[in-house]
Order: sequence, then structure tokens, then C-alpha cells
Amino acid sequence: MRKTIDACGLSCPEPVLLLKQDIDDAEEIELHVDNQASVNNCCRFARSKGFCVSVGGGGGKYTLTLTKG
Amino acid sequence: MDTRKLNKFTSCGGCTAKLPQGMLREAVSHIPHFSDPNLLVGFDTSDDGAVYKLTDDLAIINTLDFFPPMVNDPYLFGKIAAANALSDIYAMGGEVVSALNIVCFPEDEDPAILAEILRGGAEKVLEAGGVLCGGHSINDKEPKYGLSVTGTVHPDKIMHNNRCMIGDRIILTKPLGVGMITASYKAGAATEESYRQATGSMEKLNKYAFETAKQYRIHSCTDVTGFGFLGHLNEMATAEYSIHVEAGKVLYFKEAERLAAEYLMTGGGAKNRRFLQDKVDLQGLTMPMEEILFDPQTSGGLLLSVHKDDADALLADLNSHERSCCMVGEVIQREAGSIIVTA
Repeated sequence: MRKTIDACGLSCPEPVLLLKQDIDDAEEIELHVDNQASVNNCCRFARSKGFCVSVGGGGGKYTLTLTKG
Repeated sequence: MDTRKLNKFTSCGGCTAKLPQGMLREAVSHIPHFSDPNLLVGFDTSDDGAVYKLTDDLAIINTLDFFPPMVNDPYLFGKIAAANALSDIYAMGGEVVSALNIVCFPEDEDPAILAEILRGGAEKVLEAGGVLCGGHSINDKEPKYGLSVTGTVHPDKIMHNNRCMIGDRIILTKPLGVGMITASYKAGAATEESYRQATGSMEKLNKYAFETAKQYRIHSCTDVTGFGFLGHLNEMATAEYSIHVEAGKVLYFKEAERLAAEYLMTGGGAKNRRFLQDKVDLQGLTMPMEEILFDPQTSGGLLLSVHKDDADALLADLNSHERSCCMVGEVIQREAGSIIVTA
């Protein structure tokens, strides 16, 4: 199942909390965040759950593509 | 009084809202250099407050600190913000003389909320033995509060942050983890109990710890705020010595460990990790422990570098009322990393 999460405007730990709600049921997640710290923390969390992560965007708009590895 | 939540205004409160350390250094490096023989402590060493000598036996300490709320209760926010601002005076070895309010507040909000913030702050200035004598306020969508504080110190008794002696022991006077706990509590992910522990610690003045510490041979002192335990410890290290920390001896609020294990860190913690990654050598720590050491603290404790022969007595003295202080490591011969942390 593919899921899209918009966590723009939220600061940590809220993007990770949003991701946590969906990560166990999803095969692929597209996550939007707007700061580097959220990119870092969400990437680390997703990898700990066995997802491969690719990060796109920049300049305050990032898209993380999480794929179950 | 309206109990609307203060936190609704802000995404990133307390010392977590600090600009990244690297960005600040770069920006400050471009301002003109001031040379005045009476300026005893300025920008150069990232110390806690500026110290200016007035006479041979009197110097003034100037410091200011303000930030957006990290708690919902305006009175508690006022107390924490003031305790945090006043702390820099103690970290420089001084005494509080006077303080001015720094206020940003939305003009269409309930003035009773502002009154509560100011009441909390004023009570802390009173407790510090200082006098609150004015301030400045700005209309702003996001509330912010803090103090500009003036203190005094004898020029020979200034507590620099980087005059540790090899062999000194390092003592931390408040448990870590308040950044993660307050941010997670706001998001509904931390318990009421740990939130109460964290805010109780944040509103406590560092005055008492310093008054105890100054009876011993203290060589250096700073306080732990937004750059976290490792960030402020890194400011204590120099090219002459490194600091070895035993992570197992560091006190922290227990729930912080669970939050870190669930990746519920703050943005400030991630910034601190990025800035410090090539300066600190973390050897065999668990992931949650690393995060606790990077966690930004609001109104954190003092880091004291004390003569090794005084360290046990000072720690016992500090912990005579409640066990909130810990001896975390020692100052060693310079190694490759400024800070070496072992499990």
C-alpha cells in the first residue's frame, strides 16, 4: 500500500509521530517535510523500521520516498 | 483566565529555537573586532555572558536570553525563561543585580496571558536577589519572553568556560532530557509525570548550585542550554586538553531514553549532532544515550570543572537535598577529539 504524508509546518518529533502511525501498514510512503532536521530524524526512524529512503527536493521542501526493503 | 494553549503559537520553543552553532559562528566572524582592555570576556570564546571591568575589583556581566514558549502554562513559561536567562550570570561566577524584560506578544491576545508570563519571570528575578527595572515589548504573532540581566563579579573570580585544568572532574547539576520530554509532551507522546519532572528542573535557578560550588576549587563553569550537553562541553574544551565523559554516569530523566529509542528527538538535537559530529568521539554508546547527550536543554544545569581533590565533596554537597547532580568525567591530555565519550 502506498501512502502520502504531509508533515510540512511541523517540527520534530511530530513528523516522526505521523510516520509512526502509518509505517507498519505501508509498503511505500511519500513523506513531505520542510526542514533538514525532520529529514534526518525521519530517515533514521524509517531505516530502523527496515525501509530504504531516498530524499529529494531542497530549499525548505523535501520529499522522502520510503520503500520497504 | 483564558487557558488557551501558549504552545499553539510556536513550533519550536525554548532553547531548541536557537540558531545552529555553526551558522552563528560564521555570522559573528564578519562583525568588526572591538578591542578594549576592559572587555574581559567578549565574543571570542562563546562564553555565557560578556564581562566588562569597571574598576580593579568590580566587573559587570551582561547577558540576555529569550525564546518562544516550550510549555503551555504562561506562568511556568515566565519562570523557566527567567531562570534560563539568569543562569548565565551564575555560569560566569557572578551575582544578579538587575534585569529588564524582553517581550514579544500578539496585541490581539488576552493580556492576562502576558501578565502571567511577566509574573512568573518577576518572581524568579526576586528569588535571584535582583531587581526587575523595566523592559521592552513588541507586537509579534509568536510570543517570546526573556530577560536582559546585569550582574557583577570580581574580575579575578570570573568563571570562564574554558579554563579547565588537566585532572579536573566535570560535574553536571541537572539531569538531561528536558528538550525531548517537553517537545514530545506537546505532541502527546510524553507522560505528565516526566513533564512535571522536566519543568520542575527547568524552573530551578542555578543560583543554588553555584553558591555551593564556589566554596570549592572551581576552574571553569558554563551552563547547558540549546547546544546540549555535548555542545556546551565542547565549548569548555581547548587545544590544550580534551574532556572524557563516562556516559553511564550522566543523569537523565528516564522517559527521555524511551523517547529517543522511538526516534522522538527534537530538531535542535539533530542540529547539534550535525555540528558536533567531527568534534566528539562517541565510543560504543547506545543510540538513545547519544540522543540524550545531544538533546537541547532549556534552562539546563551548570557544568563545573572542579579540582579533582574537591570533586567528591562538592558532589555530595550538591546532592545533599536531592540527587540531581552527577560527576560525568574528567579533563585529560589533548586527544584527537575535543570530547571522548565512553559507555
